[in-house]
Amino acid sequence: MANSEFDWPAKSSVLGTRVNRVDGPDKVTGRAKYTFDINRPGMLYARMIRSPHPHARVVSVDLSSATRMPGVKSVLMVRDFSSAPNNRVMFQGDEIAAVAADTEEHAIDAARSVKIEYEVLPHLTIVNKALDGTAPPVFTGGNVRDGRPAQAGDLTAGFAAAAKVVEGTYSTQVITHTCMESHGTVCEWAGDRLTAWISTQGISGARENFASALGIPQANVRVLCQYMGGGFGSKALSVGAEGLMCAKLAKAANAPVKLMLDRKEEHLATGNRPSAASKIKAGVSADGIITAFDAQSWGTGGAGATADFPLPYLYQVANRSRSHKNVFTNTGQQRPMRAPGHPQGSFNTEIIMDELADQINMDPVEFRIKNLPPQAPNAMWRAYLQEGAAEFGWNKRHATGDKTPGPIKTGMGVSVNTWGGGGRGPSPAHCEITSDGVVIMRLGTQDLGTGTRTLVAVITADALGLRPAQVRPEIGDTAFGVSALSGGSTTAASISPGIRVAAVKALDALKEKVAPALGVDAASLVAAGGRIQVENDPSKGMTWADACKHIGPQAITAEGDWRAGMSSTTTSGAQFAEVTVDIETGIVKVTRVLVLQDCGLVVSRLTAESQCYGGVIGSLNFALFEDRILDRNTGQMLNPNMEWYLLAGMSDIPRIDVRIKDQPERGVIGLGEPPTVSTAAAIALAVRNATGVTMRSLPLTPAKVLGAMRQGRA
Amino acid sequence: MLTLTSPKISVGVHCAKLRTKGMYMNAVVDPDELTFYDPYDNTVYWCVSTQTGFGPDGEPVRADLCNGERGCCKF
Repeated sequence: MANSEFDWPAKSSVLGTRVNRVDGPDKVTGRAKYTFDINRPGMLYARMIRSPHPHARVVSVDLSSATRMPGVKSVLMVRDFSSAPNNRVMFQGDEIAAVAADTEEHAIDAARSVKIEYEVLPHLTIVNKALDGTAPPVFTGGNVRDGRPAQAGDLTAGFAAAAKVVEGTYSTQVITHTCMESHGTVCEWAGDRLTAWISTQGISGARENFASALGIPQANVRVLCQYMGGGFGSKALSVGAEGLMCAKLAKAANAPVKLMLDRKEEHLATGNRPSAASKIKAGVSADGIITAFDAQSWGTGGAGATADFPLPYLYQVANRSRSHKNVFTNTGQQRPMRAPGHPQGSFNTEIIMDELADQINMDPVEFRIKNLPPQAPNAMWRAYLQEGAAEFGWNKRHATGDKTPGPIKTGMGVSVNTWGGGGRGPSPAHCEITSDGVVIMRLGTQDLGTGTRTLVAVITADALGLRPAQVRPEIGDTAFGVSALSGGSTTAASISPGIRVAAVKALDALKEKVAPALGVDAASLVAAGGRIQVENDPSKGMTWADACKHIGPQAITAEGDWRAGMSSTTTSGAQFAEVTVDIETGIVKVTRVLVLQDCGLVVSRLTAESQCYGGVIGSLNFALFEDRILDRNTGQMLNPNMEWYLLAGMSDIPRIDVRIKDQPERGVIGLGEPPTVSTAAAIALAVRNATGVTMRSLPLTPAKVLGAMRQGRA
Repeated sequence: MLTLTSPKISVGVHCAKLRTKGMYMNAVVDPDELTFYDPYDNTVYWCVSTQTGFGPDGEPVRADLCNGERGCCKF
């Protein structure tokens, strides 16, 4: 697709520069309206009623008292629990009913008044009990389901060729998405037409889900999401039971209804990252080639959901075998969480990499380079590892175990990542230029908080020779057209080409309007610096405002869509981490992280860097703090709040240096997922380097660090 | 990414109410991906009727469970 006028420009005035978020002022002043901020005339407030038990039979549900509570307008069952097998609840937080009332307090009171009789059933929340067969039979077809096995080469020959062999068990924990804005919806009906404001990663998908669930045409549903406070994958699927019940309550009460979940519900019922564990035996030759990799892995994605992940991750092993078991538990189901599977695969692989390297006295960076795929535009790890090592001061890294005196030990770790991040169409965009000089770029995508509005403005402004602030991005409304959900880092690669195509077409139309006034051929004109002028002759031109006066009363409109060759897929990244560990308290402090990350053509450099900052911080939380803790007896979550479900505070955030590696020739590639893959493993390996003790399980809590040091594993 | 984009649901085989994230995405699979790691499957399913990972019968939904053997399956 070379030599098209739509190709990304070789020289750019805005693309790849450091542009502040165009919606930053709206966010910091409160003008930006999130779903939580939507208030409609006569609006009711709704609450869900959920099971407190991880596994139970619903014997009876009495809604009568709730219907008599003050202010209550509607009470509905989520489903019919009157007969088996439909009457089981499968996890703490499983939905049973919902209530709408005139105030939030009345809704909470009414929800509390619903009388539910349960027959508590034996539950399964401990993975090992499912694996060893001592758990009660809970799930139809069994509590454990085999995943997809993988095998290559000759494992026996591989181990025979090994100079050293390492065995270990590695694991990562279940964590929840913990979005700042909870899941929720405001629904309003006008006859058989539904308008839904919902915190979602996919407004077009939400429209289809509402329509299909409610049995109405998609054309009767309008979904809006102007701003959202994080999704990380948890808002990429259905509209949730809460979304559906919000619509049903609104219909039943004949009034708008707002249903926002609280923090406890967020932890219990809106998804999580599955656990991931593996028992690995790996062999390495004396010259640093992994000769064999034999793994048995398992994990839980909750009640009936899978929990698979890539293993080994990225490193090339000719002789390998892997089996996997998905363990079903009476816990909330998993949902995609930023780079689904990759952070788990990274940790389960990277830890044993350093153990193998130590066995043959090889530097971990050199060892990785020996075992990574050959270098290519979509496989740049070797270069990034070398460049990163030089910048990070890797040559100052000591051997495993900081021998300096005193309780504070320092260490360094490294890991690599990849993600697809490719997008395609359909992804239509619509551009308007009006005679007053306003530029509107309109498309039916949404902004998860990643900066999509800024991306829209940057691409449009670049094509039109304007500043991003002169462009009005309009997104977040299904009335603007169909668009794919924002997930898997596919949005930037999907929407960017269509935006540029629409903007270039609109500019061509404007040139045709302006050329006669200038007495030149339209093809000789360019847009640059806020002017339309003959290329290299500013005297033959006019300002953007004057040019637009030639448009007349009917605005210029142009359509664009995704084009092959303007976007690509697959990123490479490497991260280095430095930590201090207080071996008297077990407290780990991350002091530095260096990120080397590509994403093809950089559209908005600040936004790209922000993705890396956010990814690192998310993965630091995974490494040190986050953990869904279940009571072993009741199966209930012990920390479904923001007090005991730990996240990093400002003082926990290290210095983060981001080096975005430009690959403009590849076109646009998404960046949301990859920066969050590597950090946890790099931190754990830095702790190993500091203490001399291999941390094979996340999170690296002080108690776990001290416990591992007591055991003296190395 | 392979797991996000691979078709998991076949018309006429699986329940018409079964959904996955990949059905709502525009993604491109890198053919080199399978040289970076072996295929794995962590697909999340949901039932469009209930908007949860459980069907109208209260049982979990997955491609291997929603293929016509449950009373709630629709084709």
